[in-house]
Amino acid sequence: MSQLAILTRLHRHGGPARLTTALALLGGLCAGWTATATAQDAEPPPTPPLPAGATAASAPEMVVEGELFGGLDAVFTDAEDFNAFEVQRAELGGLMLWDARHVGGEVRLEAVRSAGSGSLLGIDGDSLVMRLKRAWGYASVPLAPVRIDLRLGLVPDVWIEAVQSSFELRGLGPTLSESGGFFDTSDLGGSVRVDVLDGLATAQVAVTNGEGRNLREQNAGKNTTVTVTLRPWRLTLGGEEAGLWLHGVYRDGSTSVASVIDNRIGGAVAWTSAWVDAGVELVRANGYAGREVDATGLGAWANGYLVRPWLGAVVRYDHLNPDTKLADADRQTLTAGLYTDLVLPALPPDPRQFRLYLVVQDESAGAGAGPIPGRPEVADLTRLMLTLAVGGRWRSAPDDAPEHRRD
Amino acid sequence: MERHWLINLLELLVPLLWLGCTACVDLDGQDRRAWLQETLIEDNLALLARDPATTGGKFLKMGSSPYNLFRGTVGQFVRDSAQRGPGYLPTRFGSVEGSRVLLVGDPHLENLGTFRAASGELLVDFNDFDASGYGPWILDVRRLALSVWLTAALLPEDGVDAVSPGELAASVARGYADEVSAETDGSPPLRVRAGEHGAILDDLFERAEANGDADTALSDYTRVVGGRRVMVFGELEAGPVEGVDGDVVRAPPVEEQRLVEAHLAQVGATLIASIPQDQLAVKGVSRRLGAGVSSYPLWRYYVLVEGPTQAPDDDWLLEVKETSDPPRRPGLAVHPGRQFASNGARVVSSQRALQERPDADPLLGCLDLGRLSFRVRERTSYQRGLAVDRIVERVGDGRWSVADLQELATIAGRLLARAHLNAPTLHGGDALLIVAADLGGDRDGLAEETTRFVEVYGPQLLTDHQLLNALLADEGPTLGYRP
Repeated sequence: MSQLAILTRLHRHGGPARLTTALALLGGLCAGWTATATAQDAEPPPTPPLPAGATAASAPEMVVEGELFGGLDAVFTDAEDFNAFEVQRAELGGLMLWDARHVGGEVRLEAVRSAGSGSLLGIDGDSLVMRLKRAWGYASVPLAPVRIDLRLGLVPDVWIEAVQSSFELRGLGPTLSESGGFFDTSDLGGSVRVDVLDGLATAQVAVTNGEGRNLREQNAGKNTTVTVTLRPWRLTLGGEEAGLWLHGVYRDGSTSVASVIDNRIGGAVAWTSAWVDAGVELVRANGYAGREVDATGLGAWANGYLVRPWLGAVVRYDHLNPDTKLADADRQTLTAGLYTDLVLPALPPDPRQFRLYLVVQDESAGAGAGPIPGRPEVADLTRLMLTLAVGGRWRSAPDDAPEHRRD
Repeated sequence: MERHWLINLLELLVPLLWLGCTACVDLDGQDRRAWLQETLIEDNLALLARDPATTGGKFLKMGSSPYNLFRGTVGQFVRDSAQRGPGYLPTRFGSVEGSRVLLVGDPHLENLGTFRAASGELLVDFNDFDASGYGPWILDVRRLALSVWLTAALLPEDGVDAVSPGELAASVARGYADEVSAETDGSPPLRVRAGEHGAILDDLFERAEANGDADTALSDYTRVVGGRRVMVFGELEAGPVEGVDGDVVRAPPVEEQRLVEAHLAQVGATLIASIPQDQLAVKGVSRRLGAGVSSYPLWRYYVLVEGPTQAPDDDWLLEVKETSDPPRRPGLAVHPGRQFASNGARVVSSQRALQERPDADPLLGCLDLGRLSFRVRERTSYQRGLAVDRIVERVGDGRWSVADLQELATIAGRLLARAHLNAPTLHGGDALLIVAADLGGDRDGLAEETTRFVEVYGPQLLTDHQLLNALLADEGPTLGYRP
């Protein structure tokens, strides 16, 4: 779950009462700031009286979150069978929240291979090392029925964040938007998020360097990304939340010293429920992989319980065309398999936080897409993955509202 | 029934999104210049961060001639060949197993040179394995053929026999196929010795023998003072253009010198034959600047060691050269992805496996200095490389003929095949069986396909050379890199 989802959840759990309290607190704070500004050379102003019920909310809170995806990958090609234990993701992050959760910040670390792809030059060989994935501060302004969040720092990509809020299969790999190189998961910059009517519509605007989290800014241009998320249909099925998600994105961007164009436009539709999830995303790039070419990506996924929570089935399909002007330049990945949610008495109530996947993945390329022109079969491979996806969260203050699945 | 306001909104948004989509995708063609700038910076990012001035010198050197551009752009060649660039021309010769062959990585005419083996025999073989690694053998064939095409394209038009550069480059493919056929039929692998393979290689042998016997490397970079051999420092040769070092040797800072001295002992354990440690006792260290094109900004030391006796006449001069990562071959997923402990180990292991004999350089080894990895070799004048400038000059003035160049191309192709067939594939397979199966005896088909490739991609190199010089003029030596 993204940190924004946590924040949103924390904000929402208060409901209207909390919102009223927060508004009152904001008014009190404004009054306090005004008093400070007008009497800064005189005696310190008296602390404005807190509205009833604001005391607990005003105390600093902390949320610690971690995720770990690890397991065994076996790869089969015509030339070799190879298997290795891998840690696909190891992340640890913390959010500090102050002032009734209206200001705060997140620092999140992730594990990466120090030598990188194809490199022999790493830290102590090719060790897994931790690096900053996100580091940002935020301020939130609730103006019912609108809430505005401002973020600054190494901020999450607003599109990845939006789509993943309705995507439950991160343990099997990122969405095509990320894995296909269309978007990086975080970047240096700032963003504004506007929530309307309790999440019915959400708009985000981000202005970032455009080089992702691996590089400093390489050109003077900035990426501007706009996303819109709509939740037009939310309902309760068998006492559990379900709903439809519509996402849209447009990015005007550039990358590298040469300011190569790096624009994106895309959309996604997803259905989420306690039993079945499904979705599809379509992204089109103008400027891809440092070249002024057009590329497209289509990702689709579906998963659902056969015997809840013990057995579920999953299928994913990713299709990437790195240059739309070329014939047969597409690559595709088909994933299918089963999962089980480990439900033990000692574990937290959300079983999806301890999920074991067993899937088969088939990768193939079109005649004009493989690493050897004219020999697409060289790119073909089959992968068998056994992956344990573990996620956990700890809060310094107890939640005072029922758990929402995603927000 | 009243329509939901969201439906109305969607009806408005969808056409707008579609308009946005079509508006943002109307760019034509690729901006090669921007791509070149970006990828050159990407490939040299660590070096630019460490030493922008010297790395800028590399780009200036690449701009000084089309062949130097070619030498410095193996990473661009690999991308173009694997990612629908101008070099992405379909091949009929490849397979999954054929893409796990140990490659020279950057085979070209100037990476052919002489060696004096432990037995004292002088031979010709490939001499640069910095880009070695496992991949599709056809890439090596195309790279080598491209160097022949470029050499031929640089020949003056007048006074040269009417053989097209593409036809000359096809000789590489024919030589390659001939060697595969010969070894399949049971012939011994090719050995290149003096007096057997044409005027150009004979000239190389003669100069190597003369310079080797005179020990010119030792006399150029060291001298005997008071009965003891010491390092020489200074500029021995001017650079080809302003801002580029020619042949320069400098005294390294004391700390750097001590570091090299302290770590040189590692190399003993990596040599092919055991050498007493006292023969590797360090007598002097210099930092060499100006050598190479692709490796121009990498650290390179000359280290004088004791050699077989304490007399100054048989001292050895070693070259300790930093090794960097090989070019990534996009989209090629070989498993395991990491096959060597370090780049030094990769280069040494590849050289021994791909050369005619593993002791072609008895002092070949490697060492690590912290996170950096180095390849060690003997810096002897018996090791001498081909120079394309000399070939162009001599073919141009008629001392050599195009037929001599064609013979060189054929032998180079045969040598490349022999190198590939010598080494086991990534998983220990017999490269001869695998490459022969890929080739299917279609010698003419490989030649035709290679000609087509160089005639499409070769002119791109000349264009890239112009683009690089335009970039240097507009952005400066570091091509606009921002620290």
